[in-house]
Amino acid sequence: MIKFRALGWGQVLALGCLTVMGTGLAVAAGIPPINAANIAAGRTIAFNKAQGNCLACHVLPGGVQAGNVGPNLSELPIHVIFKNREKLAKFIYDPEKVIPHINMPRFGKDKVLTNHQIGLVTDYLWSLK
Amino acid sequence: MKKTTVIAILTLGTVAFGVQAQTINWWDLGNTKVGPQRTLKEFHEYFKEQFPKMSLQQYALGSYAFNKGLYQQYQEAIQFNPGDLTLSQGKKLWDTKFPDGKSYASCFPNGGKGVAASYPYYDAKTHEVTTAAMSINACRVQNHLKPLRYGSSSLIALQTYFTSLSNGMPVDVKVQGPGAIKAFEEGKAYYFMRRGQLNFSCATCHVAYAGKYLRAQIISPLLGQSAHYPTYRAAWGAVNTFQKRFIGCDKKVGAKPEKLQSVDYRNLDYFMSYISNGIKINVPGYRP
Ligand code: HEC
Ligand code: HEC
Repeated sequence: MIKFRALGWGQVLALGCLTVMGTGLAVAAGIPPINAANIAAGRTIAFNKAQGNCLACHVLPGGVQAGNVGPNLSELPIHVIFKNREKLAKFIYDPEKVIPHINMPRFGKDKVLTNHQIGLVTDYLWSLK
Repeated sequence: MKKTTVIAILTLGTVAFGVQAQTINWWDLGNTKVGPQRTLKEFHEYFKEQFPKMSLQQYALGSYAFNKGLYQQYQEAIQFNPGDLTLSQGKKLWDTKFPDGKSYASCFPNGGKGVAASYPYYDAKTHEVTTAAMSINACRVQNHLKPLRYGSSSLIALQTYFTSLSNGMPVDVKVQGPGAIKAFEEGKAYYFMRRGQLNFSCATCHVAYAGKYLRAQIISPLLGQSAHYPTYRAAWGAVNTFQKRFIGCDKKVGAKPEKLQSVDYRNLDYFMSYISNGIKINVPGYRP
């Protein structure tokens, strides 16, 4: 549990809650399998200042000059929190819908990224660890 | 959507919301109309809670207050603040007599000394927030000269010198009477309204995330920001105004910036400066 220490209470509680509630959730169907090219493309989008710029707020493995406005994504147990890629993609599309008042851009809803780009970023995050 | 999914999302929402209520009372700061005095008190208390070791005066340092290495760079930089050049240009302009023999000093009480500490102010006659740039231009017009363009280098230099005549004095903006309070509340509302493609408010960054890193930049708290403007900024390679900085941040979140001295920006300026009451003026400042 050491890695949880870097997380805020919000994550810990949300996490605990999801772990309980998450059992029995439908697994997303129809998403193509992750491949290395998509992961690399997703990483590029996440690092690019003019695209995802996730690094502005999050630590990501290998990223320089990362911000700490949001949780450290290289430590966050993303698989546990989101259960499947579809949920993660939905979160990135409109984080506020999942966590009210969250201060993270609505990448899909506000058209910062296309759905295709969100899919690539999702694959990249899903591939971490 | 399956029933279980709906419940899961609802529960997650409630939990996250409950937690946020505890950690982000900054949200309440913006969304309750409690009047200027209490707003100021609550802002100061909020920052005190966030940064218990920081004294009120340290907020004048902005993001430099949060990193020792950067603070050292700052101290070196201000040995020869390039902004002082603009200051002396401003002094020259200020001291130049108008054709009618008068000068800027004759338009202000005490020759302008200490006046800018209570700027911007609400003018009960014109029913609007009045800024240094407006008063300087009004002085010109009174003396049969054309007003200077907002954002022009002469006006910036004059604003810089005029404000420096209050250096060392605490910001002392007054919000009194219904018109003033309305302008203040509108400025506050602008500060907390989400906008732009990133859907962020000024408060998202400068209240909720003050002191944190956004990429390599440390986000400064709202408190203290007004006290060093006009400021020299290396990124600009020049001295520029508080409102010019609003434009930069509005652009950063993908919002359409307003014009300098628009009603919104003046009300915003008024609200933000009032929150910095008590912090000593130091103009021109220096920022990276
Ligand atoms: C300007 C800030 C900002 C940017 C840019 C940003 N995020 Fe976030 N993100 C946040 C914040 C703040 C949180 C924490 C929310 C909370 O716990 O209340 C967060 C949380 C997360 C989480 C964890 C959610 C959870 O349940 O704890 C993930 C995953 C995430 N962000 C992914 C991304 C990705 C991918 C990108 C880029 C495409 C990105 N973020 C860009 C601010 C940002
Ligand atoms: C996405 C985050 C973000 C948002 C939203 C944002 N800012 Fe900023 N702002 C920054 C960063 C980063 C800096 C540069 C570091 C610093 O000095 O704070 C900055 C700098 C400033 C400064 C200069 C501070 C100084 O000491 O020189 C002012 C003034 C300012 N912002 C006002 C605003 C206003 C007004 C708004 C809303 C209209 C706003 N900001 C919205 C991130 C943001």
